[in-house]
Amino acid sequence: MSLLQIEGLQLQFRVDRETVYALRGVDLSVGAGTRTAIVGESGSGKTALTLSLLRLLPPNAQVKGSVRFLGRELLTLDEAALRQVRGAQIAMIFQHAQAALNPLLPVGRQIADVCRQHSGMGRAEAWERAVEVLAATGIQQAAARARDYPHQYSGGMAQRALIAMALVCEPQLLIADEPTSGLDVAVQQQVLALVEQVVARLDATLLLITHDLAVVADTCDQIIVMYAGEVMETGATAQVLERPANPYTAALLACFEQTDEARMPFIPGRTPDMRQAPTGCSFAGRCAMTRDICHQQRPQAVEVAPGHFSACHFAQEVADA
Amino acid sequence: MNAEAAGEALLRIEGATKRFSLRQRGWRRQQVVALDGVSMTLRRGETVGLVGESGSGKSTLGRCVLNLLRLDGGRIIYRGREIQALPEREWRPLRRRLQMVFQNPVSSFNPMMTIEEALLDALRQVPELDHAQRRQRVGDLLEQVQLGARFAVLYPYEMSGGQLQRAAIARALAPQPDFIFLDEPTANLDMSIRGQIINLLLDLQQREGGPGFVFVTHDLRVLRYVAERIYVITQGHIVESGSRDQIFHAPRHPWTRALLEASSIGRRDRRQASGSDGEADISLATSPEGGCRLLARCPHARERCARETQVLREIEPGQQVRCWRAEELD
Repeated sequence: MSLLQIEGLQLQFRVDRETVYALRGVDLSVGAGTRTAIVGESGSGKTALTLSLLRLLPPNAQVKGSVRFLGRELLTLDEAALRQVRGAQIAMIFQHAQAALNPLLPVGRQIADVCRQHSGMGRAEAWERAVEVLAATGIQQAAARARDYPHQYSGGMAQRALIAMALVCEPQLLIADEPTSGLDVAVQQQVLALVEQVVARLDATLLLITHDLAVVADTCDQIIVMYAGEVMETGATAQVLERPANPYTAALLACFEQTDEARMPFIPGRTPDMRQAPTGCSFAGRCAMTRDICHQQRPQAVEVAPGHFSACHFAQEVADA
Repeated sequence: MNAEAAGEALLRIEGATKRFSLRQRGWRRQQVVALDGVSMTLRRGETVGLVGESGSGKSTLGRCVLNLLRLDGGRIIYRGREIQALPEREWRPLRRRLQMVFQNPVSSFNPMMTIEEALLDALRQVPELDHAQRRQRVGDLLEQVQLGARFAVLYPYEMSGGQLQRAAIARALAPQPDFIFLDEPTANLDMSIRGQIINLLLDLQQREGGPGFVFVTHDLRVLRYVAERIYVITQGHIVESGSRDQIFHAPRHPWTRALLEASSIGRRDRRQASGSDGEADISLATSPEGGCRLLARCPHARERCARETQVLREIEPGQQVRCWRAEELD
């Protein structure tokens, strides 16, 4: 059964009498117990997607479509009920840990607040729980460090603290938005290992947002490739990485490959202007395979192999290439 | 001085040492050694990679070279002349020769200036050009970084990260420097466009009389393309240096190997390579004297590693390594 079912999700922002189309009809489902990655370049809508799940959106946003979590529609849920879902059932680890923490409160206090909000614990009990989860995420001398303020934490530690905050209520779905960005490789791996460990212990589902395919290959079993607010390709990680069925995925993968070629591969051009909804395929302007149809008609997702979908007019060709 | 003799180093750093003191809990002052006897050389027109994790001292080194920070020990020799801690008056003529590109292109541009204004501002360091020549040069520079003259009138917010980083390189090139220190120029860019910057540097390397580059990064993937020689730095000291081929195909130090593992795609076992579960940051820089400083993070550590300070020694012609077990670890 799918834990999370998204259908026809559209997200628009009104900015200065213009409309920015952040998500343009996203359909996807995330199975319970899976570890799913959402990948794509900056501006592809990865973060917009997760923020709209929890309705953590600014007032100028308009959301349409359906987001069902355990069969319950989240988009029409009233604020009080939604607050019970946020943090307790769906927890989020935000990008830029330092910025996600309140600089004016000790880290332990911020974690304890989450406990008190969701479980009705008393102050002392919640504090103990905060220290316990901080220790569980590998922070040394957690009892002392809990009293520290965020600026006294290093980047890796702040990320650990955010993970602690996310796991304190034992959520069923953990969303990690670029948890390793801004950290160096050694710390990145510790943080990823910790996320995996936490997910395994809680028996939770992981939705990992990242632009780093190396991270995906190691951590996730399912992959969702996004571009310009659309899903380009979905499938099992091994399938997608070994036999990409979308030119965008293939181009992205090429950027990560270690070759002995003289020049480094890159995707020419830039992501399309989201103020206009493109008529055809959103990747047409940068794609090496573009033909007339790509500019005229938006490709529908086709199943190139069981469970492996790609939104490309030439999906089968690309997959067989 | 015959510093310009063939093969002579353009820039030589000898035993650079820099300490910062930071206030810990209570009154005790604690020192962090950011650079500990770092030596490196850069020849004319050469690109040298400097790779290390955050807190390893790589940016500090750049800041010291550009006289933004003062070393506590060691020398920085540019064209045979000691430039460490020169007074402003003597430093000023050198400033145009030594340029820097910062990690975040957005914050390194004045948001109120167009790209042309920003470049003209940089060209103020070149007194021999008149205004018309400067404007001409702005056009040439934009062409050189493959942006084109239409970008001259744009403000930073109107450009993508990759375009802006190219503009930042144009700005660094403006006063015709001998040396550009690139401080993680691709770290804030998507993997899909890092190639634009890397390939641009490759093109600039081809140019006769072009500057030398020190390319600082924590991501070895990008160095594979641009660096001729690579220095691996951690906790303020160099643990290995060698040619690109030596570092990529025959790395000898366990730390270099861990970095290489970490940057390759789809290696399950790479976690172990990075070692300890504890926090790997500057806290380790103050670990007790007298042993290998990577002791706690090294899977190959032996009892001797705890006792003996490791020194940088030549293991192959042109390759240096700071590990006594380097030969065994093949």
